[in-house]
Amino acid sequence: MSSYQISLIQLACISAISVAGVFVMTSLAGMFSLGQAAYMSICAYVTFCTAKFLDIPVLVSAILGIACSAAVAYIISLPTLKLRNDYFALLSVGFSNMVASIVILLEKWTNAAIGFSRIPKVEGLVWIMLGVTALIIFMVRNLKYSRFGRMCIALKNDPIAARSFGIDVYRLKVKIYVLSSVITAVAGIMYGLRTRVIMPDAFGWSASAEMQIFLFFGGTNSLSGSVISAVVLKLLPEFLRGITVFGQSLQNARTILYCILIIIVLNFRTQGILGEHEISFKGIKRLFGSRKGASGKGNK
Amino acid sequence: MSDIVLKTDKIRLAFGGVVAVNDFTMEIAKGEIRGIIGPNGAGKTTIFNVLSRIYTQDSGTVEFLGEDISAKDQISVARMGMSRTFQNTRLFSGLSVLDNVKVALDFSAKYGLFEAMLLLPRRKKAEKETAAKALECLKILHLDQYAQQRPSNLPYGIQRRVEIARALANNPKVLLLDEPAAGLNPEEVFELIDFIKEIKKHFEGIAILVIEHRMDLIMNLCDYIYVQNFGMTIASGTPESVQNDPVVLSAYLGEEEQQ
Repeated sequence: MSSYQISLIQLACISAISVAGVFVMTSLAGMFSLGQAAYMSICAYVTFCTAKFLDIPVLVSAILGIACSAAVAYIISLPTLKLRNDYFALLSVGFSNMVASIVILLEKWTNAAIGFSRIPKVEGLVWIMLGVTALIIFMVRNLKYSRFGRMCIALKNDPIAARSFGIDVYRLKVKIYVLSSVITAVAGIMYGLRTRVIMPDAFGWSASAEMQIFLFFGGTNSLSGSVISAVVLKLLPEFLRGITVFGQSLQNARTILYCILIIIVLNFRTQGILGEHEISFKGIKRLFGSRKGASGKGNK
Repeated sequence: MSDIVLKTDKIRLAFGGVVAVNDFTMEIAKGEIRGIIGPNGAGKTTIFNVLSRIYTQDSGTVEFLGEDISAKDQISVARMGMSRTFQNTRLFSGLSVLDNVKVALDFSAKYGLFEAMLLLPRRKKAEKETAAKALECLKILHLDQYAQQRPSNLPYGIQRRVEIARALANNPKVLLLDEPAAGLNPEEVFELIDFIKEIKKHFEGIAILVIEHRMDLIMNLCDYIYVQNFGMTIASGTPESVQNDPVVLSAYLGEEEQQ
């Protein structure tokens, strides 16, 4: 494989991990946030700055970075999750801007807008990424079909009824928010290892919005749908590189492209492409095994 | 006296100037079915909301299983064994019927977030138990044929029953039914009466408190009735005595003009 192809796979993995993180929060527990990329930022900066300045291996500092993002997520969630969903979404935007300005303020360590580039090179990174991505998707899938998945969907549908069945809505939300942020934080480390330079701009509002777009495009209640859409939509601009319109590469128009796609999906299929269906191995087997033309979208 | 599971003493709750519940006193023992009736706006649902701690009363006490629950919240009271249904069904639309029932058992399942994500043995065991319990509950109430369906695809009468099944899954001590017959046709009401009688048979010692408008249901089921009007209890007693009470009749039918 050429290094270009490898880097595309890495890009897809990062996108898949971060959307899996957002899936936990938005699809399961119904919390809509536009600031999740901030956790990528926190984790990436803590990991690589401590690795550099404390001179510890990245593996150790990665744990430190994840712990840091979990702590920040916990502190942020305590007051904000008492708010109604729309106010929570607004606050998340503020939070992500706050993180970006803190990174710029700490110029001495983070190198501010120029970018922090002293990130060690890791051999065989693509395999690590594929492994981590598979593990995280596996874990999120298990979560969805566990008691936590059910309780989350219950609290999303009707918090008052959920409470009357002994579900501690607030604590569960905090738990899920921290978990979601940790998963997104892992994507942050992967991002740093891939590009080997991190800048506050990369984790801004638009990165968070992108995750939500991928999620809603693939199917708001479908993990497989949102992961596939995360991979496809993230790589789409790369495939459009060769196509030019009015002397401009279509790649530059990717934001416009995303917007058009999301408008089309929201108009004709509000639930996203896959809606609530999951693609499962059972369903695929059914499709290829018997030719009775059963649908490939197994309802697991 | 240890048979009394739920008891209120002079609870009072006002919203601004409107006194929704005024000095409401009641008790219900194991295995009993009691009813609260009254015209619209009589404060019946408010009483339920105080009992299940959605609202906190201004004064008076609520005792559940011999314990004062005035300071507890909705969640801990639900965990103690008080289940309720809602006036307009509140089934979780994103979950199948079976999962809806499972949710009622989920707070007590013994496995953590990481065990859930890594498919550890404790999760598998607990999930099996939950599924078996939920399915059994549906079977007892003859609802198992709907297990895999979404609640929104079911007729309203069945949705009502699924909601009651969900409230029963956790083997509660007290079941609060908030207008279970609202929106049902006469035939469905009779089925519901049989259904509630069946619940009493299968869940031994359960105390059921019903709010209702429909006289046929109340008169058929209840051992004891409280009649509410404008937040006040205007009568209480057995169905027969309440039926002939002149105060109740005037509240329901209006007073005849004195000549």
